[in-house]
Amino acid sequence: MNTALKLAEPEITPQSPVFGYLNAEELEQFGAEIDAVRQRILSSLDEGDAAYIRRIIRWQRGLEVLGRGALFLGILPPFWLLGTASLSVAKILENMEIGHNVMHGQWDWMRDPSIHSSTWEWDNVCPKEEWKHSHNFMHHKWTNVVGMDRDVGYGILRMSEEQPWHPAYLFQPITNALLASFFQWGVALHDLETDRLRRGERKWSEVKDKWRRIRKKMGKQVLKDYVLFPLLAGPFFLPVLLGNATANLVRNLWSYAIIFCGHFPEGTHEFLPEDVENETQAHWYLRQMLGSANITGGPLFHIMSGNLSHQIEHHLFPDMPSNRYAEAAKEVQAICEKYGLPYNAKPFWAQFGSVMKKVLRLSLPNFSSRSKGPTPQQA
Amino acid sequence: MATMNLLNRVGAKLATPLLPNAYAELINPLWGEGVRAKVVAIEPEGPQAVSLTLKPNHRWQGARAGQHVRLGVDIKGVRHQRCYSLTSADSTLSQRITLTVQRHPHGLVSQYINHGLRVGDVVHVAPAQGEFVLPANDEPLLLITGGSGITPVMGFLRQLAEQGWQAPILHWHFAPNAEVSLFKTERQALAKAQGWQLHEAYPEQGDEGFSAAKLDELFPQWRNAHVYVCGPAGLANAVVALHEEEGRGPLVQEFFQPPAIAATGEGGEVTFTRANKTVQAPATTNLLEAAEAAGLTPEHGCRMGICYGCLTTLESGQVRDHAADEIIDTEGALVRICVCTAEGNAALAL
Ligand code: FES
Repeated sequence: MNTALKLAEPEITPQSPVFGYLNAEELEQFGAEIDAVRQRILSSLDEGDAAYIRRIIRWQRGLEVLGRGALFLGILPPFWLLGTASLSVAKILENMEIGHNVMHGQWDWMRDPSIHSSTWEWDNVCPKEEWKHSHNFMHHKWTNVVGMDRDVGYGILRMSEEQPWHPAYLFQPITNALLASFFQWGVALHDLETDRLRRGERKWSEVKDKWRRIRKKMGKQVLKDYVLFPLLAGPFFLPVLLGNATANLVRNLWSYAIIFCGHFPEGTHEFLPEDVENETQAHWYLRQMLGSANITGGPLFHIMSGNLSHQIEHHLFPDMPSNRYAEAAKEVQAICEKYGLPYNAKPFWAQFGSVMKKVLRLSLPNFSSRSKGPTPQQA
Repeated sequence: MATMNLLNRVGAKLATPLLPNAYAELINPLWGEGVRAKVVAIEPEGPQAVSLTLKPNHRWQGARAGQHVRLGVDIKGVRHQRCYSLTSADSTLSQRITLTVQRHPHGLVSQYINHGLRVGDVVHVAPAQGEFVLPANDEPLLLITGGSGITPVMGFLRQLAEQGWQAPILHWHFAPNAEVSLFKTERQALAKAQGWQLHEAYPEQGDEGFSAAKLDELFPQWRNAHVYVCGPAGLANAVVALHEEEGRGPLVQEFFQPPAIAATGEGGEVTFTRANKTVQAPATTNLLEAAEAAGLTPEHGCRMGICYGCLTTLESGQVRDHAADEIIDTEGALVRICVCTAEGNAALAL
């Protein structure tokens, strides 16, 4: 797909609803209240929080050992199912509640070098350096700014009316299914910005080191899951291989679903580069809130989603320990009510359905001049 | 050995991106990453201190009497590290080690070790360090200690007794009073059994302080002795000054207190460029603490300016080095962040 995203195209109307909600004074007050939530929670961190992350890590590693162990007997269907399920859960926990959050620096306050953003490497083909750049920086700073946040469509999907249409997007339902299935590989290649490479906006020499690092990480992950563990099982090579592949697929689909529910359901706002010029902290808070959506559910669901079900709170406070998001959510929601701001929180199927509808709708050109999201007048 | 290596290599490939010890830790916390030790005993040492007996894991390399270790403990979920002298004799790989921690009224870590730590807890230990060690051959020794400066010398005494030192020894120890004099009974018993001279002085109870005349009276051969000193600055400086004039043997000094950081500096805004964080660091907070408060984990050792384990590049701005008592503003200079404070704005490669 060579559909260039030209931001300065005249048909884009810079209509920002951001300030439609609050005047300058209210915005600053809102920012101060959000800040106060952050301060209060961060200053109350203690050994209970430390015990939480260590407990999750122990569970994750235990489940992984159990999963890999059971898969060695994977020739028997119940063991194969048990092994694959445990390994899937372990991989989901590792990537989402542990890896993603540790790499955000959520647990740096413990000063434990083995649970620290500077050292953590996760069970995923995307190396930590590439992840931290494309995710922690590009996505979290420029959330939902079309053309700046590369997570808007991951460079291959059209997820915003603001992205010009191209016939290749007719295949978007298929592209989308492929992205979901191979999500970790997509994420790994994400930071290479291959679309920009093809268009010549980025030189190959600039990304050579990145590519070398990505290849190395991919090699290690493939060797582990698809060569060594199957070999170790001897005659049961195949069940182990299939179990590992399934676990990776399950993790891919799940993390894709949760992540897409975070920013693309109807009702989340998109922004234009001019919306973020000279942005203040309070403005950034407001934009993070409007550009994110929560998924409602029980405690186990929140853990399994890496607490990205509290996407709004995660975007307001990316470095707050994830076990505190539920608590922050109550306060943030109350603040939103007070200021008359939308707070997008719905069950999984509602959010996911809405995202899938968008994928289908945007595979076709814009028929009406739809707006980018509900403006306050509509809301 | 070769099979061990192969096993390790395959283990690492299977456990990637972690190491096998991440899983071994599930069975026994001592098998986790790094040097760790289990607390096997905690005993009061006089009214203001406790002695810990630690059983290190398989990664421990052993230590010589007089060396110190950096102990890491988690307090309210946060890892804190402090250096303590070992009080045990030379130890090899699997041997237990001991150390003694005196309570300081405002010392977070010393208070925790005295009141919060429990037998069975696992603590983090960095490999033993330090040049405060006994000479290779039996020579006359002059050991001068004050207060909790006794701790490394206690390791010496236990080692000397084990070894049966064949040369005269004077141990001159200062403590505020008899009650708080650490290891008094054990030291007296050792001196008696080994025929060493032990002189205890309690200035609070009117005993005479350190002087050349008194030293000559107690240990006339001191000029040819190997001199070791560990104690408060006043005592240590007096010994060093006298030794410089008259001593002929070597002198080894162990520091056990960080230089006092007088609030003379300015403090300022410090940027940790790699972590991309900026903090306000007051004149009384050293840069190591400032970095830790910001959630960073800089490499370090003694935290008192003597090991150079915390050297960090000053990228711009200026800092005040309290150990050297100077202001450093050279771009690219390596500074000991544990004894430096900000002096205006500064950027560090952390
Ligand atoms: S930590 Fe030893 S010199 Fe700074």
